[in-house]
Order: sequence, then structure tokens, then C-alpha cells
Amino acid sequence: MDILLDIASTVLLVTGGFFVFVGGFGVMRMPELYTRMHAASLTDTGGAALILVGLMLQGGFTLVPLKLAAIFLFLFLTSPTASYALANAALLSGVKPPCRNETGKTFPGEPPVADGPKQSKSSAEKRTANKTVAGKAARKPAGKATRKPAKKAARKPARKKS
Amino acid sequence: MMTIVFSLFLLTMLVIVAVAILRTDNLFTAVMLSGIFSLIMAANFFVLDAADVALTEAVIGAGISTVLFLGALALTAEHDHSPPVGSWVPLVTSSALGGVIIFATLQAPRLGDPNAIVHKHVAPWYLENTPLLIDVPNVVTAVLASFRGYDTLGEVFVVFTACIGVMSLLGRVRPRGELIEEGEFDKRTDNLRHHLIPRVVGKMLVPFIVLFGLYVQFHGDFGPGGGFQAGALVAAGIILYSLVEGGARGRELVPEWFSGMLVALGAFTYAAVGVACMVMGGRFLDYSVLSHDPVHGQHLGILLIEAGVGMTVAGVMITIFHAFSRRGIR
Repeated sequence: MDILLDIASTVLLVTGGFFVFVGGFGVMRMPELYTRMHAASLTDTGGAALILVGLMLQGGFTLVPLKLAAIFLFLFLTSPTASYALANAALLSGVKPPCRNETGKTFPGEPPVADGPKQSKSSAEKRTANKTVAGKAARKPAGKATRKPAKKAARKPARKKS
Repeated sequence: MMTIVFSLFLLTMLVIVAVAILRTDNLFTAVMLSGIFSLIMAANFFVLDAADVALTEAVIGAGISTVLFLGALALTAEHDHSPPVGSWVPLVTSSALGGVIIFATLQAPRLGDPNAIVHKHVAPWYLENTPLLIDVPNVVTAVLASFRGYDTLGEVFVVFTACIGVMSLLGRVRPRGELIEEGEFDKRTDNLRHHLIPRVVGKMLVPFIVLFGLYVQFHGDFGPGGGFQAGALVAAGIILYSLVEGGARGRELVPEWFSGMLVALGAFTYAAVGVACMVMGGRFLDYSVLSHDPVHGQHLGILLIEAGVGMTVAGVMITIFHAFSRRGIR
């Protein structure tokens, strides 16, 4: 039984280490921010999860696996959120994801909107984001609304383009 | 061996990050890098078995001071004006100072040397007498709260004074019942309110951060932790709430008069315990007289003064954050 646990945990730890390594490699090698973030998120979720589960198996019936599980839960909540916030901040500050045009050449810039099937995800996201902003501003009670929605839209130049 | 490799790695990272901080002229980048610096430093403290210090450094250095720096950045420009290049005075000054420090380290004992002066002086006495006199497993807490209670009282009043200094620079604490408005930093971080994911996740984490803070507060006798770390953790939870919900909502949750009162109340609690000891026939901050049994009295005294420390630290952090976040209201 012990040897089985040991084997399982070693396999998990090695796989987790591999994920971390691949993530680090990806951060070095990927061409631009969003793909790099994709690589980094591999470390955050896949690598960390596998390593933590591997360590939990090593812990045995003590308080240690429970603590590791708490860390696991914490990481699973926070690191995707951090990735989201980072990507969002990058998009708002005007870092464009690279896109492919008809000739198959990659370039950084606005995704092509004209042809339907090629419509990229980010422009759709932008539109929904804009909607939420408008909805939130409209729903706000009049008495407390010291913020001005018009002013806010002006502070987000990247969003207005879509 | 493993420790040495790990320390070497961490110290190398520290040097790299420090050079990066110096070389960047974007202050935002510098703030983020200084957060990373603190986190590496915390890991370094942990490698050196100083878990209490590591916890403090992680919470205050990497967490709260980053937020406070960002609050300051929201009020100023994002780019540094490049200092004049070519002056030899800074070079000479820093090389001379660096030389003195390196010369001083030559005299220092080696890492982990059992014959070092610190291990020969009062440390053995503390280790020997803590189980007899105070009977708490964490010797650090015993030294900090009881043997060296005067020093910690001084530290609490330093924090208290620092808070008064910052508040006198940034503006007064708003009294109860005054209108809650938004400052410049609130407007900058206002974007966060409209992002559902950080908002939901952030709000979900706040109770657990506060709970962990309370655990660190009351478990300080047994494990790493105590009032300083706990106060900073609780404040971090409330600052997180203010960041995801907007500063105005944060000031509704913990009003400024309340956090200001907490600062004074904590320092008062600490000093009052000292006076209570005198009233009950002991010396100032000699907790043994607080209860029928000296050891039990020590436990009670440590619990009370740690609560005072926690209140002051949490109050100071929240007050300073609020002061930054509502700055710009006229």
C-alpha cells in the first residue's frame, strides 16, 4: 500500500514538475504577451495542482494534506483570477493579440471583423464587456452615483474601438 | 546542502530584482518589482527558520506596501524623471558605504555558527527558561511579548506615531456621519468594480483572509504569528474588499473613525496591561501578577498585549489605506 502511494505521488510530482518546466519554457519562447500568459497559467494550475496532490499523498493521515488542500483551493481560485485580471489590464492598456489575415500572415492589431467565421473571440468579449459597463451604470441608484459613466467610458479608449 | 543551494538561488534573485528596480524608470514596474523583492525576502527568511519574520514580510512587504505604493502612484505621475547622469558623488558615496558594509560582514560570524555571540548571550537563557516561566511553545512570542515587552511596547508606539505622521501629511480622519465620497485612487481602481470575476473571487476570499488573520492572532503562542502578522492580515482582507468594491464601500465597511479609534485603542490596551500589572502589585508589564498562578498570568498578559498589537497594526494599515484612497476629495 505504501509503495503504491509512493509510486503515485512520485508520478504526480514528476508530471507536475514537467508542467512547471514546460510553463517556464513557454514563457521564454512564446512570441507575445497572451501566449506567454497561457504558458504561465499552465504552471499556475496544472503544475501546482499536480505537485500539491503529489505532496498530499506523501503526507499520510495527518493535518498536512488538509493544509495542502486549503492551499490547492486558494491557488485554484486566485491564479485564474490573476490571469484574467492581467489579460484584461493588458487589453485595456492597448496590447493587441496577434491576428491572422487572409494571406495567413500574423500581425498585431485589431482582429478582422468583416468575415463572419473568422471573428475572433476578443472582439466579442469587448462588446459584452461594454454592455456590462453600460448596464451597471444604468442600474446604479441615483442618489449615490457620484461616478459619471460618460467619463468612465472616456478613460477606456481600448474598449471603444469595437 | 539543499538549504545553501536554495539560499544562493534566492539571494541571486534578490540581486537581480534589486538591479531591475534601479534600472526601470516606470514607477509602476518598480512597485511591482519591489513586491517581488519582498516575497523573495520572505522565502529567504523562511529558509533561515524565521517563520514569524517571513510571515510579516510576506503580508506587509509584498501585500500591503505594494497597495500603498500604488495608492501613492495614483496621486502622482507614473514615470520617474531620470536623475542627472555623470555625477560622481553618488557613485563615491555608495561605493564607500558598500565597502564599509562588506568590511563589517568580514567580522560577522558564519551562518549557523554555534559559537556566534548571539547564541552565547541571552538566547540560551530564553530557550531554557521559557518552558518554566511562560510555558508557550513559540519562544519568539515569549521573548517578544514578555521578556522583551518594553521593546514591543516601543514598537507599537512607533507604529502609532508613524500613523499620526502619515495622517498629518495626508489629511484628517473623517468623523462619524460625514458623507462618503470617492478619491483619486478610488477612481483609478474603479474599473475593478465592473469586472465580475475579480470581484466575486475577491469577495469570496475576504472572510477566509480575516479568519486566517484571527487564527494567526490567537495561535501566536503555539506557532509562528502574533499581533503584528495578524493585524496586517486582517487589514489585508479589508483592503482587498476596498479594492474590489471601491474605496467608498470599503470606508462604509470600516469607517475611518473606527479604524482611527482602533489604532489608539490597541496602543492603549498594551499600556493599560502594563499599568494593571503595577496596580496589582507587580512591575510594569510583569504579567505574573495578573492571575493566581504566575504562568497563567503570563498567558493572560501575552494574550491581551497581542490583541493590542493586532488592533494597532490593523488600524494603522486600514487608516493609511483609506487616507490614500480618498485623497483628492475637496
